[in-house]
Amino acid sequence: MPVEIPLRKIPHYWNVYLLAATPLLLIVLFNYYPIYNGIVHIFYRWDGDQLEEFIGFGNIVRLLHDRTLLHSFGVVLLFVAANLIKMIPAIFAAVILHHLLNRQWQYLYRICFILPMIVPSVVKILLWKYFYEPNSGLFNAVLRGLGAIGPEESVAFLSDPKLLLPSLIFQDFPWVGAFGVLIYLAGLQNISREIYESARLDGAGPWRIFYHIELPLITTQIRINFALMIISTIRGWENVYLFVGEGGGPESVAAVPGLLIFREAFSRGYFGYGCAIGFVIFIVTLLATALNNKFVRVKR
Amino acid sequence: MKEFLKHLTLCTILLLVLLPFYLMVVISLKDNAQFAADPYLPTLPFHFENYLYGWEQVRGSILNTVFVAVTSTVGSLALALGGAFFFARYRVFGGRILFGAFMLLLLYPGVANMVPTFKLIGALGLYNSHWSLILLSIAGSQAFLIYVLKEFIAELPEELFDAADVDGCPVWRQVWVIALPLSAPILGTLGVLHIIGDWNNFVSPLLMLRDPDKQLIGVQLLYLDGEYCKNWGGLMAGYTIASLPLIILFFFCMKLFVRSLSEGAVKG
Repeated sequence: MPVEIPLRKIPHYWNVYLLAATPLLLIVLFNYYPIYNGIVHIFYRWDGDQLEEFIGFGNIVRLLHDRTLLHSFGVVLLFVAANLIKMIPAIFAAVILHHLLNRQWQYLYRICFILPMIVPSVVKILLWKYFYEPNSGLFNAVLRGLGAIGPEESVAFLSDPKLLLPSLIFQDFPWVGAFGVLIYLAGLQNISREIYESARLDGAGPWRIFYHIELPLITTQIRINFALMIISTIRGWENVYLFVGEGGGPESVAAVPGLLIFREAFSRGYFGYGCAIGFVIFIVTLLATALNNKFVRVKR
Repeated sequence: MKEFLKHLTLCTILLLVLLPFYLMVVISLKDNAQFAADPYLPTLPFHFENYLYGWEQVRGSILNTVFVAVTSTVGSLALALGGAFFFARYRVFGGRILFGAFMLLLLYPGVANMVPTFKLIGALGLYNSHWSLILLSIAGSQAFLIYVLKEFIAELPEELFDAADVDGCPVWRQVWVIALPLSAPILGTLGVLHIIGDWNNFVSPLLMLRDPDKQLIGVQLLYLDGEYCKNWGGLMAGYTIASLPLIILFFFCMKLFVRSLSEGAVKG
């Protein structure tokens, strides 16, 4: 049982409070104060410097008419759908890994899967950027080698508005994020031997075991990953920034909400409007979390 | 035979996963002429001087990143351990509300806070200072760390702390002498995750730092990539060097990494 500290004895326990007070001070200063300040400045025209003028609902009216913003949430929706499909290879990799008979090999493979996760994400993205490069990039060289395009031609994966989104989605092929693989593997290893043995006695083949036993028993992990994936897709903009810069590519086709905040505030000086977009992202995250809790509830 | 098929599938997947890194290392040993002729296979002579060039480009930013990542990881864990100890061991007036105040932050996306945080850092005079990144990293990780550590400390045998109380051991010493060693495994796990997170952090340095020689590794690599006339070999050597510190750390505490990265599941 935790120690109860009655109200009148609190002064005596000041040093205990100090333990919680330091982190509390930090989050109030660096998290709560900016949240408050951001919400206040939704109602201001603010250039981040001298100009700070109350404009009421001006920014909100602008939000409602902003087609780029609407488009950016469309892009998020597309990315969520794509990331859902991109979750599948990790499940298969984990199942195969789980069925390896030799433990040593399994450990070795696990380490190989972790290695790419340790490489900084900026390096990974810049390497893929090089793959898509029109002149010396890997994909153009392969296409030339196959004769799909002439030796002097090139495909501009990142500057063709039709190809940019598919290229961003294809990135990181074959999509076996180590994190997913390890999580599923840990889930699979929790399945007891008896279940497998009785299934085999009943004559179930590997596919039926996968479909009727393994898949249902790792749904918890799949759901957790699904929830994390949605939230991080709504928040994420670094990938797009690294690939095509703050413009979000030709015609801003890949501009996601986070990128719009960066562009509006730090390039164009609309800090108030940046705060407003931030608040919209917060609301959308809340809605997604609520929907998640309602429809894909994690069973304990 | 069936084992063979499994190995074949896994090796194919791994080949594809590791292909970018293979090319990174191969190209890092080429000069531009060799790169233009054949970027895919190693060609002699190897140009190890690319690594000198790459090291010149990333040296400063790597040292900056190590400083920021280590300081903020140690600071985050120390503060969160104290906070978690408080919430796990004491029931006080308003304690639940305080705890709620931490947990609420797990819902608030950092990206939504980007603009006002930038202004706050400016107002505090921390713009263009590494301390802005350290403080932001510490504050930003408290909610998650306290959540995990509180669960862990609550499971420790409380007789230890009761006895320490009877002997008149001050609270901070209880944290330092009893809670810290007992939570070493989980602190290791969380520390690894925190260092990886800091190493990958890209947005805060982009916003909060102005001087190129103060910049951290992520943004520095982006600058290098943006140069018009590329020395591909040197660039890839820079990428390789930037990846090495974490990989070295990984080989030194492989068990810790494997556990850190698999553990999320067991908790779920």
